[in-house]
Amino acid sequence: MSGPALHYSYRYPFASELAATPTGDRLRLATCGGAAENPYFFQGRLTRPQRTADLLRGLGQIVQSRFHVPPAMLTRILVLADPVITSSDDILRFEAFSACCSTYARVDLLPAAIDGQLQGRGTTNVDFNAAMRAALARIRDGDKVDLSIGAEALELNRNRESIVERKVPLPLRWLKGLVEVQAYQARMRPRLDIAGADAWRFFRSLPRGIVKQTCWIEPAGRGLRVSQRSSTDGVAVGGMQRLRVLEDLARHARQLLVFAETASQTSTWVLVLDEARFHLVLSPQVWRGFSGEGQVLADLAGDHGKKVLPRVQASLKWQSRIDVPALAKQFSLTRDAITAALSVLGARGLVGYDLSEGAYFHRELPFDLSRVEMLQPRLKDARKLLERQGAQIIKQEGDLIEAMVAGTGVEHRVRLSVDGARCTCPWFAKHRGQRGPCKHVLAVQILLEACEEQ
Amino acid sequence: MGPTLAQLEEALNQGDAKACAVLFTGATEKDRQALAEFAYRRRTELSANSYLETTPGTFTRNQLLDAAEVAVLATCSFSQLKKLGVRAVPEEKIAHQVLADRRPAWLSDWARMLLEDNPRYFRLIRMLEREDLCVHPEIDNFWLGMLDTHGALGRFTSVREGLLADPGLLDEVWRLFEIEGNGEFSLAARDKYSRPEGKWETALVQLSDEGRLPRARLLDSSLDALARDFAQFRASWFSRFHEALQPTVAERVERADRYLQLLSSKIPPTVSFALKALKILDKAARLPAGAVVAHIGPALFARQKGTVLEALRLLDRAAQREPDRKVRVTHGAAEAIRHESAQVQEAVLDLIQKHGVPNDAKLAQLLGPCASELSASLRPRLQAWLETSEGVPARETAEVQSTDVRALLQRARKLDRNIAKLAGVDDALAAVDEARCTLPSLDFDPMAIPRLDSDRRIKPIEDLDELIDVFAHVLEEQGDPMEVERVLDGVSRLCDQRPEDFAARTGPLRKRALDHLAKGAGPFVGCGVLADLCGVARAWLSGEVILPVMDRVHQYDETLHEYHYDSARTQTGFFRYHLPTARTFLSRRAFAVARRAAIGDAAPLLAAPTHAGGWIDPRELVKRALLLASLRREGDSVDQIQALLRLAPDHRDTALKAAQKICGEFGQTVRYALGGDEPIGDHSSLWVAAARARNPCRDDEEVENKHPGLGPDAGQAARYQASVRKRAQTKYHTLRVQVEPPPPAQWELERVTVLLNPQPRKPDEYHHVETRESTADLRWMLTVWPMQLESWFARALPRFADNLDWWEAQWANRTLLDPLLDPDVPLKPMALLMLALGLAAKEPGESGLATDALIAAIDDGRLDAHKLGATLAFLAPMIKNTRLVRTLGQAARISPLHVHGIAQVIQGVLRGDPASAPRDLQALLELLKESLTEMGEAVTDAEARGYLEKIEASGKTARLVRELLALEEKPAALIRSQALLRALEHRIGRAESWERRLE
Repeated sequence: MSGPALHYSYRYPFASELAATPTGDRLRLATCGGAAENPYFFQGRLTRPQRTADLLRGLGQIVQSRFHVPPAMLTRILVLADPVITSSDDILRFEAFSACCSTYARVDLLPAAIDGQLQGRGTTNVDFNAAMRAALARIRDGDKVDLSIGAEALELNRNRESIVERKVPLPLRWLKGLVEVQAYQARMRPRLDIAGADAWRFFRSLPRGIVKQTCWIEPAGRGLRVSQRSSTDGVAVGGMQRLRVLEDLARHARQLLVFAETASQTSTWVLVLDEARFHLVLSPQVWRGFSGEGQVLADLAGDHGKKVLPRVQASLKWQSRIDVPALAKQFSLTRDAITAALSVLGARGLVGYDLSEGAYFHRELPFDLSRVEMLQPRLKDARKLLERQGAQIIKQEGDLIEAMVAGTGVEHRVRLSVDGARCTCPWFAKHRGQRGPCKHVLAVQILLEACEEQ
Repeated sequence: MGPTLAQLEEALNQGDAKACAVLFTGATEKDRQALAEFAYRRRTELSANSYLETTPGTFTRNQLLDAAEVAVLATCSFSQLKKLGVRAVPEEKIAHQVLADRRPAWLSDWARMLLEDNPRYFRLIRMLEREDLCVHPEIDNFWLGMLDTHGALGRFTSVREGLLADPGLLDEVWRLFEIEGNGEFSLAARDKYSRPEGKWETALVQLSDEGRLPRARLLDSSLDALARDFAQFRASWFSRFHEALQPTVAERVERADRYLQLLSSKIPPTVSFALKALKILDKAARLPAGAVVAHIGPALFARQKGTVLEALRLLDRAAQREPDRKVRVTHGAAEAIRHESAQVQEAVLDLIQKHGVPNDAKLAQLLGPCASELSASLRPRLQAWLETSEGVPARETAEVQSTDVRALLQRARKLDRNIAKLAGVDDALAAVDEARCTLPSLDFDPMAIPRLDSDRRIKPIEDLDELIDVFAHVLEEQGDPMEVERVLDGVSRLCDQRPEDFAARTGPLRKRALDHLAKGAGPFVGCGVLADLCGVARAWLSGEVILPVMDRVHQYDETLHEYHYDSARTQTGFFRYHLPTARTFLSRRAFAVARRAAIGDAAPLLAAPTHAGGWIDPRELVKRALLLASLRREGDSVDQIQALLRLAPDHRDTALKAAQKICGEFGQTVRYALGGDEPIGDHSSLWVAAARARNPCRDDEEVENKHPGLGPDAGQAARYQASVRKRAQTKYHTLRVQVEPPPPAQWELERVTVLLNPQPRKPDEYHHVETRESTADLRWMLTVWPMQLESWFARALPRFADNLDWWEAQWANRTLLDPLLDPDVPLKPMALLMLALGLAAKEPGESGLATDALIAAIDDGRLDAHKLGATLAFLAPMIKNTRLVRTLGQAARISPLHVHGIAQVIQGVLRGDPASAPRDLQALLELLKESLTEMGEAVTDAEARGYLEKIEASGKTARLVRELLALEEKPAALIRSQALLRALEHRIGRAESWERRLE
């Protein structure tokens, strides 16, 4: 993968494994990063071991996948990030992001899935090595399987000799996508709701090959069907092969919920089990990673949240559901202001969004994300334009603002009005704002805010 | 003393790699560093000339590169070599010589870097490693490089020989079982294209037989690899290899747990492999029933029918061997009843009836909810079994709500009688009265349907800002032809507006258009919508109307003409098909707009659509014509022709009265097109367009008499005859369409209705025009003559049929199916052929679109199921029934109406000579049986019945035929009422939408 990257070192005290013990199997997940070097989050027993193992295998499948690159490139790309796990009030959340930045998956283990005690709260990486993933396949529901996430200090000291270290270049677009996907989820609305058995049947009916075009999944009787026509009832899905990840898992589900945002053609597919949930978030197409969509650029460009952000950030205490009305009341702010602040915090990797709960949750990605925000290409370009004094406001009449912004060999005309922003550049002409503002619009917005401050 | 700069320069200038290597022999690191910068610079300079044109058109590698590569390897620091990457790696022997002499401290890092870039450097790295010059690189590409039998071991005649020549590699073999590899480097990929002696499988089996590699470890390693869920293609090597070792029963017994674990694999062939191994153990009575029951679960959820059936057989035998496990066996087997295949469902029921314990409440709970999803033919059997069990929920009963029926009848009564008849509402009402499920399909005259939907009215561009915005958008996205038309209309009307800041406002648009023109084909000669739009933009914004110039006929394909175009930045070259097409016609229209725009001569366009789909309200056309007349202007003839062909059938009488004031021959043609009586004039193309607009499907004797023999869809309406022929010396068939009257000898650009028909192809013609038409082009072409699309389908059919098996990625082809989705497009023979081909297409997008069209056509009553069946029978030599069953099955899942429709379609397929029935007929018959059973119907089509009675089949097919012939119609089945009501509801809905258009 070309482009700038964050060189990140995974340093696990031991390799994750499924080990046989006298009392049954033990799934030991090694952790690294976050608030502590090797945090210890959980120790207990899985109540439905096979189902949990299948969910984690599904998550592993996403980590391994790159949906739009020729297989010849896979070896180089598969050396990528491990999932991250967040331990909060009562939910263990495992998050993974595909190498192509187009698919995000999250497994939520609810209290019914685990019988044990949370030992700590926080977010950390978890080793998902191939041998451990393969071993998950042999777990059956009747087995007794203990789960440990991290290890006690004593055990860590005993295992010092088996440290697993892996240096991985995490592309910035991957990191950007991982954080921006939260903003997408927050905008999605419920669209489809069917029983698990019907969902299973639907996933099995999906075409085996790669479907390049965008399709619409629409209700048909009790189940769903794939249509090639856009419809108001349907949910647009590009790169439908990504849904096949859910085929094996759907047999465990009692319900399938689909959330979507029509304008961006993004969707989230949630398999609801009695004791867990599996979220699969899809970008509009396999070649359109979440990083390139620029949905949070306007928030990042502006500084309207400067005062709100630190206060909201200070209130984060590993909540599994952040209560927006309560925060709004606490800070005497509107709910929209809190939501906007959370959106920016999401773009900084400090909160995630849980569609099933309809709420943000606190989690701090264990990566240094300071560069991610700095290197938003469009934002960076907009700032460069301003440094070169490439933007000039030529007209300001009521709500209409016109500006000329330097382009390549030509000047672009930017108009901001109550109807939205417009620009004469090819990017805007192509996407008409659906993939976020162009750099010219961003430059004018930043310029205007600077003028207002003065 | 080390080499001097002069010596190095001389060696580099001579391009002598060996001399260059010798030059550095024994040199110190300091000597080398002194020359590093020079060597580095020389190597980077050469990068610009890596290949030289030795003779015109022939490029060879620059011979100076070899020496330069040696020089950098011998002198540069590791950081410099990292920047150069593989550009600093000479031929391996010389590289080895240089490095063995230099022995740098960073050699291990360098080796790792090289392997990370490409596994093919394995041999060089291995040479260095064996001489302890570098450490063993612990990266996957090391072992993947080992697989490269051509590079790494290619000196030897077999992989075995290569491994024995470097015995240390025998220890490395085990890693090959742990890493998956990729498309090029994997055991599966390597063995696929190798001779038997060149295969890794052969070599490892031989080495095992010879005792050089431990057999037990090979068996275990292959099973370990299968547990890793590698991609299917790569995983399959390990299962083949495992079987190639021919494990004995004793060896298999030792590994029984491993086989059982593989039943959870995500890779279907791995599950099949494990089942086969378990079957062997089962036959040898070495497989504990308890283990089968405990582990078989995942195999019962497999998608593959064969896998589930095999798993059920294992369960059956387990229950036979250990009857006390019957309860668990039946509970496990019950999970498989959710499988889509009736055969699997039947096998589950067999097993349950054989081993099920009476009054097993849990089993009944497992099966009960699945009853409604079961194949129709098996439902009574399951229901009967469930009724013998206690605690089973009562059968769900459904009935048609009388309130629904009353509401529908009320809506039907409110309809205009003509509209109701046209939309088939009367037929549906009669069918409801008679409780008859089969309805006549709608065979409507396209002229009889109102087309102008006020919700789909096109809003003309209002001002310059909007024009600039929309124009910029269509330069990026041309998918919506109405946006293209809005832009043409906008430029035509607003091209005289030149405010002071015009250049500044339109600068980006102008630049973008010129960028496109500098890269692609030239405008106005029929190369596509984008080129034409760019040409218009250039004319409007720069005042230049430049036409491409034809240079010559293509050297190898005389159907292509070579053109060049002066794009203002550079001269571009491109090819164009030698005959004019509808695309050329549209280009000409854009050209006319461009010429006026260049001089700021604003005027309305006659042919700008007033409604989506390309329709023009006849009253609006008359207004435009009168406006042009008042401005004392004559419209362009291409624009006039286009306007006539887009005339909607609505409001023609009103428009005809108003059109009396239009002067000249165009006025006459407008009145004639609207149904008036006019003497036929001399402008043949205008009169052909008027005749086709007046009535698209009928011959126009008056125009034909005045302008005879102009081809299909001129004076005479086109008639088509399709034929399926086997291609010589292949198993493939081809579809061709003959058109009557025959195409003209000379193709006239303005007679676009003729151009829309199939053009004869030369036998050696390869680059035929259709394959180069983009989605946007096709969509624009669809608006040329929206009233009559049979010619569209006739032209598209051969192109679509030739790529039915998707041997070439022609993504635009799915656009050919788009018109089938329009409920106002009647399904005439060519449309039916297109639909039938689409249903049998391999590409999921194409078959999915055809399925959507089929579903819609059943709902809106356009589909004549028997005709579609007959069309499918006609296409039988070129289509695969397995694909057809999938698409028809999808449609049948929508509603009872669709189940009935699909049953009728399949009955329509069953005709012709039963002796030559296709081998894959069974799946189709199975779908027919399930559909008829669901509807409570019998095989009613006499021809289909005769076909089934005469068919000579055996096995499952024969059983299916017997079952089909034995089906009897059930009186007053509820499901048939539901189907009828759905048909009625959709027909009423359509009639209401037509009424709204008339308001």
